[in-house]
Amino acid sequence: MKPDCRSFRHRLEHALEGARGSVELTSLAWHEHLLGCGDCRALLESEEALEILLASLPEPRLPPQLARRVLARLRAVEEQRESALDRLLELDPAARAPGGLAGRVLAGLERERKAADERLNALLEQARAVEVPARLAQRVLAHLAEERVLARPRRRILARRPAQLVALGVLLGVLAAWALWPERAPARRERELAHQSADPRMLEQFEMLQQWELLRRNDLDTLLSTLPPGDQLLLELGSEEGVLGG
Amino acid sequence: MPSDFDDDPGVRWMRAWQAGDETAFDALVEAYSGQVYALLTRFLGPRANREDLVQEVFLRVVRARERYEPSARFSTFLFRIAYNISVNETQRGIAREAGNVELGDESQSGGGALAQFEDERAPSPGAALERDDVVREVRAAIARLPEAQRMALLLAKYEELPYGEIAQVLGSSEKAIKSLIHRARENLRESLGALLEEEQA
Repeated sequence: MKPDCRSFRHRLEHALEGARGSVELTSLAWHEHLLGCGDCRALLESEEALEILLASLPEPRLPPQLARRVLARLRAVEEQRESALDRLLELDPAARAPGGLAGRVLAGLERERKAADERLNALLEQARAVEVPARLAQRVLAHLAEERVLARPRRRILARRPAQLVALGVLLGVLAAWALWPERAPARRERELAHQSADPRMLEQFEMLQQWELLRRNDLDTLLSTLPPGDQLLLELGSEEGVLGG
Repeated sequence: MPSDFDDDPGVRWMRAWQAGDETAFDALVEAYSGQVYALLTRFLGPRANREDLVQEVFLRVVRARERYEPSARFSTFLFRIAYNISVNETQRGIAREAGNVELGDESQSGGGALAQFEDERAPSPGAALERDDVVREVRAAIARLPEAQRMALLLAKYEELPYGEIAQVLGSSEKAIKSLIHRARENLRESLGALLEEEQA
């Protein structure tokens, strides 16, 4: 390609680049280079013809209300997207709150609380029901007797420590109380339980059993002391008839 | 952040929409949907789902609302989206089918598809029929161009975009666009040889 041709084609491309390509090309038709160059003249004519053909294509006809319809469909798509997101979230069972959930949670908490109460009561009961060995006080005193004898010469020393003596006295008193407690406590407890019962027949049977137990132990005096005077007379009569003699 | 494109009406509407003015988006669709529709029609041919594609283009604008930063005129941004969507369509093989549909529909319905391209300059029915053949042939030649050549030529010829903006649409350089358009014209001159000779005569 000759330098003149290169220069002309560069101008041709530049002319085609602009928005008014065909006008630019027309002005190029008068270029002096074309007088002596058939190739470039043919190229220019071909480009001009192509420009005319391309410009002859009609504008695409737009559908009526295109923008309004596109906007409406965009809104529908966005709404669908939102509801699809909601449905996806609902698929997660952990995220779903079933009916009556609050009630069931509260009931569960109440059950837990009751179970904890029961465990605590059992522990307290265990702590309270300490078995005190029989005749503990007597054995303690017997054990201490020797010590007490040994301690006699040092009475003056002890006398100088009244606080220890008071503490010892309190300890002995407590031990004596423990020793005596089991004798009465169960009977009182049983009576309390029996009186709490709502069934009078049960109460009556329980009293009879107690009385029978007392009789079996020949603790007649104790029994009689618990009976009203009329009943005492009846019992005495029965005894004379050998009913209670066994 | 101010940009060099704040005078562009599309950029101004995008800014307003980002600031919370919902009517600005309506204005964008009103102003640009026709332009997008025309570009898609020229690029893909008269296919039935062009309106769906326009919707898809603006859906991507919706999704880009937060991160949009003007680096060109708004139309350049929009055409880039439209080009990507069109190329996806073509790669799915639907666009190739659309080329056949364009010709097929016209042959079956006596120019039914062509009727969508209203030409108000047609002087008489006889001349219109003759013009229909020319138009169909030119469109078919454009449809046969490779995608990048086709889009570059359409943007230059019908949207009157400077090469620099076409380069932004296609994600290319201005020099490469010049070369693309040069090759596109060569291809068209070759495939429309007979028509060009008639036109010259």
